[in-house]
Amino acid sequence: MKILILAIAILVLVTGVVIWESRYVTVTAASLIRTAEQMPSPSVSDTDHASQDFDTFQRAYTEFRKTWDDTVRILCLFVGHTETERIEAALEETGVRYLSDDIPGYRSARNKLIAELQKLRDLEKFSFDSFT
Amino acid sequence: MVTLYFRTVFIYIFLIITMRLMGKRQLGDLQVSELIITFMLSELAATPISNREIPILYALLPILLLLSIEVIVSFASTRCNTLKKLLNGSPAILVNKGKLSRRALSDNRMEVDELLSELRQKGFASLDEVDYAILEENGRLSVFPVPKYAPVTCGDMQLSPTRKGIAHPLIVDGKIIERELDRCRKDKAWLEKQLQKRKTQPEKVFLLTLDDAGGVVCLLREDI
Repeated sequence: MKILILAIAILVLVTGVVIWESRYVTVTAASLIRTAEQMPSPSVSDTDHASQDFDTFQRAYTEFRKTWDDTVRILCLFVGHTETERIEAALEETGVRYLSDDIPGYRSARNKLIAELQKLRDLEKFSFDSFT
Repeated sequence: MVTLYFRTVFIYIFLIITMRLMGKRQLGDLQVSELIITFMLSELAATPISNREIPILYALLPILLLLSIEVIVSFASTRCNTLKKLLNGSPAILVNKGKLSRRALSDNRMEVDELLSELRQKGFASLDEVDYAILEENGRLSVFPVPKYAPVTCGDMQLSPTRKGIAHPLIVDGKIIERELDRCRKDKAWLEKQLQKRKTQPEKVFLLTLDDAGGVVCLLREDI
């Protein structure tokens, strides 16, 4: 009977951890997506991005980096390291491309960053797609 | 992680159904659910070891989940016969009072020659010698001979042999097992006497046993 109670406790604990983890990852990913979307999105022809755009980028990038650094260690416990490494690489590329005035490259890196975050969020959602 | 959680439960149920459909003869000594757990645990445990990209929780969580499911399911199956039958199946009587059941054979997808082969391996040359043959839940065949082919027992001969019981090891590899000595209600003085009779000492003894009828067997290190 003691083992049965322990087994039920483990089942409840594991289920609890999974529900918490799913919520944590989806909320964190959603927050990161919002921050990433705040980064300026200049058109491809716009090569002369103004200083106010730079300030917006700097603010959003710093905020993203801070949130990411705070959460990545916890995320690494629950999601494959490949996923977190892809987001890290996309974030790095976004910064480098923006600072080197490579607007098409920056747009592509920013879109990739958002797409990777959306993928992460969708993977951890309770949905038929994540199951299959 | 959600994916992993649901996949673990899904694969567990899926494997149970698959193994049940595969039939008893695929199993061996393990019950269906135990066999599935064994397969899954080995695979789950190996994956994060061989791939560092996979977090360790990817193995720990499903293993804990399987452990709890297995304990809960096995507890539930001791309380509910229907669940037990559903998970592990029930014994199939292939030969009933000497009569072969073709239906039971066909239900278990077993050919007559396979049954005969199993019977031969158990020392039965012909089906005439078999009273009952039962394919157990774990896939093993239990065979009971018709009385005229059954081995003669002491009961048949109306003999009353002395009950020897099991042999208790009192000295193993030169060490006195005091727990066994207490269990046999003997003391060290008795043991000393036994050793003196054999002109030896505990450290020279490899194994000394005492059965319930008082029989002592002593194997010396130099003899083996």
